[in-house]
Amino acid sequence: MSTSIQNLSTFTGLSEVELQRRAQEMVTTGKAKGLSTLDAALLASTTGPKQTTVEAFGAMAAATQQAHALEEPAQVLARAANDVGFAAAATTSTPSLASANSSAVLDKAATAGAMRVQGFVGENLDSFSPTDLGGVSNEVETNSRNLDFEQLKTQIQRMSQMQQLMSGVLSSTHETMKSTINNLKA
Amino acid sequence: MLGARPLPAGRFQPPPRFTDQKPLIAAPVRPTPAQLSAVADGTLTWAEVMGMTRAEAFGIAQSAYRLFEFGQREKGRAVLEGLVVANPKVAAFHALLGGMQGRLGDEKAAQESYSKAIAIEPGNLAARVNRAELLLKQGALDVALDDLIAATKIDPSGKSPLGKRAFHLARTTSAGLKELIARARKPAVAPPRR
Repeated sequence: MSTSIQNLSTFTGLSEVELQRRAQEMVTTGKAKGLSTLDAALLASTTGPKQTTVEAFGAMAAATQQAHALEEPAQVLARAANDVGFAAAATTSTPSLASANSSAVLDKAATAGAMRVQGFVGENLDSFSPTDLGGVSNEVETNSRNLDFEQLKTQIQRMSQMQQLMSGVLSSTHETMKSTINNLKA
Repeated sequence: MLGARPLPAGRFQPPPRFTDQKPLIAAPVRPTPAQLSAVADGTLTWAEVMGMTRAEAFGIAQSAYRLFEFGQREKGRAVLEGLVVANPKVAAFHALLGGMQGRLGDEKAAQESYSKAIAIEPGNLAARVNRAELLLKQGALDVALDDLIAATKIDPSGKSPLGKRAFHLARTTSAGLKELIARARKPAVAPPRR
């Protein structure tokens, strides 16, 4: 088996015979064209990491590389993005993009967010009822409304769980800060 | 005699005293029937209803990320799941949740989260690279190719760690597949006549 096929076999966990069968399938169905597009994209990126500097995902690499890379939210926030679905921020409380990835700014924002969720779920978790969704005129609408109600109730419960966990995190941070200050005073 | 000079009035503010007082809870919000219907339809998010800003949501996401990275993995995931419920329109949250689910071994849920992130933002590099890797490990080579092509185009210089990862995967896949396809295209050689 050649090195490149061996690398692919190690990475995918498929045997050479199985890989060959899948490659054959790609040729038959015309999906092998995608490979030319990938090659073109790799060639076009002349400024990208050079072939020689890129270590192939061999047996060792496949075993040691941590799959499912996580992107830190602070880095995402610092990039200008046009996310939708948020309330407009008051000008005084919005951190600038330059300072957005500062830990203190994010901690403050997290506290404010957790307090907001607490105010919301505290008000609506137990007192929320299907009638809050408005009046209905027939049976079909009643069924649909009940379905919506169950869905919304589950969502509020999920947010309540989030708020309880955040509350635990924030109170432990609070206690740590308090004891640090008390130690400094002593 | 040298003495402490008094500070000019109004220019110095002493730091706030740290007290045991817990911060106040934000004012309770009661959604209107119209708002609830809009949330059920997906035209409005809970974040908009309760007045949550982008910075606040990312602050909570950062706390969830820290919890997860420091070992409290289930808690981190639960916080992020709540955040995704509060605003399901942010690709970065879906991608991060997918990463957490994948690391906790729930690869099916991870793939769904990556797909949601890509549906919202086709240029989300984290979701593209992670889904490509997941598909490759499942042996779905043809589907993984599409994600790899997109990922190498999003970060063509491979500057970010995710971009580098995309190049690693793309080159490994390309080299192996090229050889396999060349073999598949080669006509079968007839056995020599005796």
